[in-house]
Amino acid sequence: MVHHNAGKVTLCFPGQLSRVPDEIGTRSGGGYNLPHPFLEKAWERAGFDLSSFFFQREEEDRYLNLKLQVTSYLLSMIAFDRYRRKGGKWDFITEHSMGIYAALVAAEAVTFEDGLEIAKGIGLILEQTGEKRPGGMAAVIGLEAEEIKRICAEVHGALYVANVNGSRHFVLSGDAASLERGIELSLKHGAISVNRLTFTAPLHSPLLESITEDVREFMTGFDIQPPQTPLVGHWSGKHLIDPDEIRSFLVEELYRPVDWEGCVQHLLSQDVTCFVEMGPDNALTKLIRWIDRDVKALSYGVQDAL
Amino acid sequence: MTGVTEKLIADVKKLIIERLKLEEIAVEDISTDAPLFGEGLGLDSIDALELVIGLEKEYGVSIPDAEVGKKVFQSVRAIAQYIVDNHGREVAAADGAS
Repeated sequence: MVHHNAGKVTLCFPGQLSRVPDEIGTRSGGGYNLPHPFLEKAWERAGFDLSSFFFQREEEDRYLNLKLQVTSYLLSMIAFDRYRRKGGKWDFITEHSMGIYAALVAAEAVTFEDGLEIAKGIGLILEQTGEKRPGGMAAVIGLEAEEIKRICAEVHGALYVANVNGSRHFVLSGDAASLERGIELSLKHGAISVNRLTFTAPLHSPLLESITEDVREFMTGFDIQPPQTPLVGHWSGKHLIDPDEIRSFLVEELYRPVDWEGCVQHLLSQDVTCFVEMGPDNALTKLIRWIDRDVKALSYGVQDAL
Repeated sequence: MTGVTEKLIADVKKLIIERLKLEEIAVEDISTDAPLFGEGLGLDSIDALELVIGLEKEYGVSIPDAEVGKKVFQSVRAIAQYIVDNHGREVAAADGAS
């Protein structure tokens, strides 16, 4: 499934999966038996076994989101590796939320090993933050931007718009009590669906400014190179060019909202006619379908790659 | 259930295929009574929003909230019944006109 077309192609790296993919742990013979060197490296470098979805260290294994984060990174990287090996082409790389780590590797700005350690390290900081000060996130579908803003204001607490994924698709983020009220109000105002995400930290909200220093310090040890493919970040399509800028992005994106709609609109203005999602899910593909029904959007999952 | 014609059932299936761009699925592949979400076609909440918009545009019926949505999107037949219950005349006119 390699696509050639006249317009430009963007590879999209999705954020953290919201659940364990069905294939993991359900197949006979130990689950997700993908013969891939990345999985061996995950065990050696991060102590994570994808086939049985567990971390060697008990203190890491108890964090669901940490496991989902590393799983998402690995599955995106395997999809990308196979796409590349089959001669798949691309002109841009973009990412949504925590998809930045795999996107950086695909753009050759960081190595696979460093990407893995960064994804895991930041995931761990987020989990520990969520334990100390519980918060959460919820996807709200159906309401418009004005209504969402009004709900955040009506809550009279710490509730923020964390993702603008489309004109009627948003993610709210905040402290536990405010999120609860936000969910209730969203349903009351006629949202088609409100799904609580697994995150325990209020990602992409100002509440996470408090972890800035921890993340900055954690990032100092990693080497970042200029991307070799135009890398478009989820802030309305901001191009990430300079390594220092990327380092700042990795810190700031944790407490600033994702503007996926703006990002896709920017790429459309750059003559992109095909978006290929790298990973086992098709959430970004469906969001792109909502933003522009005429553009080609498809998911190049791990199964396609086999 | 009354008022739901085979034609309306087929039209709802067509709407689902077109709205969700299910290029590899034919009308015959969609079961009339099977669940659309989770199991069955495996649709999700982003798909639900597409169907809400599709129903508004094609039939002028609106889904006011998640509770109604949950009932309406149980199956193709439930969607068809909701269209009939809310806009019987327009459906009849559309059926007659095509």
